[in-house]
Amino acid sequence: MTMRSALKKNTVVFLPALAGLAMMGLVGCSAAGSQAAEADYPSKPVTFVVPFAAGGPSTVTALAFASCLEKGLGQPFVIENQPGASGGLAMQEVSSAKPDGYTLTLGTNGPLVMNPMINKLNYGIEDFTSVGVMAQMPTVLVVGEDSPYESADEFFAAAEKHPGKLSVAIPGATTSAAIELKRLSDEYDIEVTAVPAVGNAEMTTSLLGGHVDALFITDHQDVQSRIDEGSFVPLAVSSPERAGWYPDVPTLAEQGFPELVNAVSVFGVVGPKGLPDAVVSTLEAELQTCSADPAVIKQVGEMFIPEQFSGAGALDEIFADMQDLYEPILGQK
Amino acid sequence: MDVLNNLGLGFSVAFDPMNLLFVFVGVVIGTAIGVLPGLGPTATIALLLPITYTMDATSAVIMLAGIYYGSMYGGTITSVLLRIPGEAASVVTTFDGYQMTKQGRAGPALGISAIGSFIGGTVAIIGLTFLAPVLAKVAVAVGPASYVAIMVLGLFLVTSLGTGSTMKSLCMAAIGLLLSTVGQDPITGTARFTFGIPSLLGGLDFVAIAMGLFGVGQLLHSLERTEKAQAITTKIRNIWPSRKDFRDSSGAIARGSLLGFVIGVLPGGGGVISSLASYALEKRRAKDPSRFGKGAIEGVAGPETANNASSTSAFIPLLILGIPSNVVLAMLYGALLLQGITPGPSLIEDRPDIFWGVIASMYVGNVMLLILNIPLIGIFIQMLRVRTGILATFALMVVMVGVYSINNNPFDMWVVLIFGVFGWIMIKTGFDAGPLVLAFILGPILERSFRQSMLISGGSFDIFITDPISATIFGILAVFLAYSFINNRRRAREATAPAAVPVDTRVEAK
Repeated sequence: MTMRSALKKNTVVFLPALAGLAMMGLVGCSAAGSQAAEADYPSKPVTFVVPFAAGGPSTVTALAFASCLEKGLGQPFVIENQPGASGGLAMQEVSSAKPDGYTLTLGTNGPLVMNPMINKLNYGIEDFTSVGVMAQMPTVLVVGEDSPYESADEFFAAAEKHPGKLSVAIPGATTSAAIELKRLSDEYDIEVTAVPAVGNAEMTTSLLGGHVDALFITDHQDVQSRIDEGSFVPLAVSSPERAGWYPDVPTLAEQGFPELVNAVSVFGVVGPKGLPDAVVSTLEAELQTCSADPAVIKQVGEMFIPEQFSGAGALDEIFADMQDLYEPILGQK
Repeated sequence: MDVLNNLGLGFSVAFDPMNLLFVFVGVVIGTAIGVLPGLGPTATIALLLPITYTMDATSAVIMLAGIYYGSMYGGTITSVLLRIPGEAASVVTTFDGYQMTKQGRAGPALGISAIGSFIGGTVAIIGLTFLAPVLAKVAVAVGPASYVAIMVLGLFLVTSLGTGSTMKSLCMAAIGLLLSTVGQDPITGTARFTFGIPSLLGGLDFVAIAMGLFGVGQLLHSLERTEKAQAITTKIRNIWPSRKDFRDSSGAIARGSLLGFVIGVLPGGGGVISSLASYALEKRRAKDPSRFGKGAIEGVAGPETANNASSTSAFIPLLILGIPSNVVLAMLYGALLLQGITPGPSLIEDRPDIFWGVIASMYVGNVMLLILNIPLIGIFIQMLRVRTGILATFALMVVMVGVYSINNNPFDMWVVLIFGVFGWIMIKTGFDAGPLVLAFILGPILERSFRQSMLISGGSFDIFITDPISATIFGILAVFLAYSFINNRRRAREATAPAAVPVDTRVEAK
């Protein structure tokens, strides 16, 4: 009895003391070691979180860049898929990780910018440090090969004549494609019915089966192979300028919607807020090298890697623009 | 003849020593992760994805496919022995499989599953070889409206297959549907029932709920009983199905193969719907439906066969149309993309070596699985000799690790534990977890397709009549409901008349 209470008392005193000691040690170490750690970054494997399930374009892009970064920086870049809450879970975790460059993530429109506006999440765009852009994918408006609409003119004329009659599948509710169609109706008074689907596969099925009139789909290899074989016909692209690989397809801006140039998916590399400058510049430089690497270009798709590399500053600007654009629309809710 | 030539090409690819090795590696890994509860093909393939792109494209897909259908074999084992379904489709197997184990017939249950899986898988590969292009067209014809009908049919089957009262099954199915609405709204993206918990935004995970309700619930329940009672219930009598077992299940296997093959082509809920439909069909056809849920071997053979047939025919939309019909196949799709190959309509012409090589490797893989599984059954059954306390602890640990691995999210581990307690209470109060879990799987597909249908039709219900598949299914359901209503009325009347002699036209001469 006495022994136990004595032990207990001792533990009570001992534990905080130990904890204090340990903390002092840690603080001391990190103060001394941080400079050195930044200089020889990376000195251990880096976790790269992908906020979607494995198999999609995000994973393909991340894997391609990870293997190149690994070669250049000499440490493994481990891809960890953390789907859930439209990417919100992964973003939340990375935003609260230690900003030492060993936890990075793929930052893109939905999870990073739009999700925190729609849902109550413990992070915002300001909780991240940008590193650079890996890939950019425009959204394309496509119809099936038997569609009565042969051009964007015909499609939008029909949509204007019969508001809400045309159904257009989109990749999800919290995507820039969804916002763009909403703006089409709000700003240009052309109303189509957006049908949110899950992923490119479901969208493809719904167009091939004739269940919807058109798709507003993120451009990727699968979409391109369908356009090549003729089962999809592209009507318009969402990028500010025409896409080099569809030279005959007009932009939405050319179609008379000068404001609709924002449905472009940006796959960037971001880390938690407060990433040391030395780490950012190491990663940024290597990312730039990788975006010119032939293996990476082949895997991600030549057209999706911007010719002009956008680094940390440029990516910051891209996300800030998105924030300004979406805030008034999503903030209304 | 063309097909045979192509298949010849396929086999020449599949019998390449390296590829043969990868088929073997794939099916062994698949069986192993199938046996470990919670660890599914999804997490495994996600882990292996980075490795595959240093491999040859054909070998990579052959191996990943092996993991996928191998895990379907392995998933049965814990469903039967411990009542822990490894994946959605084996939920149905727990109904009669676990009862067979309790009766000391775990061996025949596993034996018939392995044989049924082999037959189902092989039938589906033959179908894939010859009918793929035709069926691919069916897959895209199934739109949102058809899905609504298929899901309603599925829910109808769910509530009719519980062992307890229909009312209890209905209640459980309703709770399952309610739970499936947690998370982001599929159309607007707004949060529902998340109570400010970010982890709930993604909804509850099916595996976590199933592992909790079935697995952990059952573990808690068995810990409650004494060691002595355990020893008696798990005594193993024989490890091979008897001639009577084969006779009883041959019809179920034949029907399961066909059902599974056709339903597997549908994107989305294919696997679960096929095993559900097979179970419901067998129960309906049985001379004595009350045996179901109490250890009927057809209730294991049919669904397991259908499950494997459907997991094979799910390759049809992937390889022919480039449309992955479930998460695992989406990852295979990703693996091919990494290799610079876009699966789609042109795959057969551009890369016949991949298309036919993968198909031929499935023939080989299925034979390997059968040879591998039969002797393993004896070993797995020895698991039941382990003391419950040890087995339960180990199973719980594997479940927790497995569940964590799905989304890399510790929250799912709490879900397992909470639902484990619910599962235990449900066993004690005589509620079936089956309808709840199955409704939970069907719910999100039903909701999304219904709302997509309403968006497309502008709010008009006509879409369910103009869509041929949905019109047919709803028509059959209406006729069936009317029939059983009239039948019940008649039976109630006959029961009051004492002279009525029960006539069962289905009794065969023995």
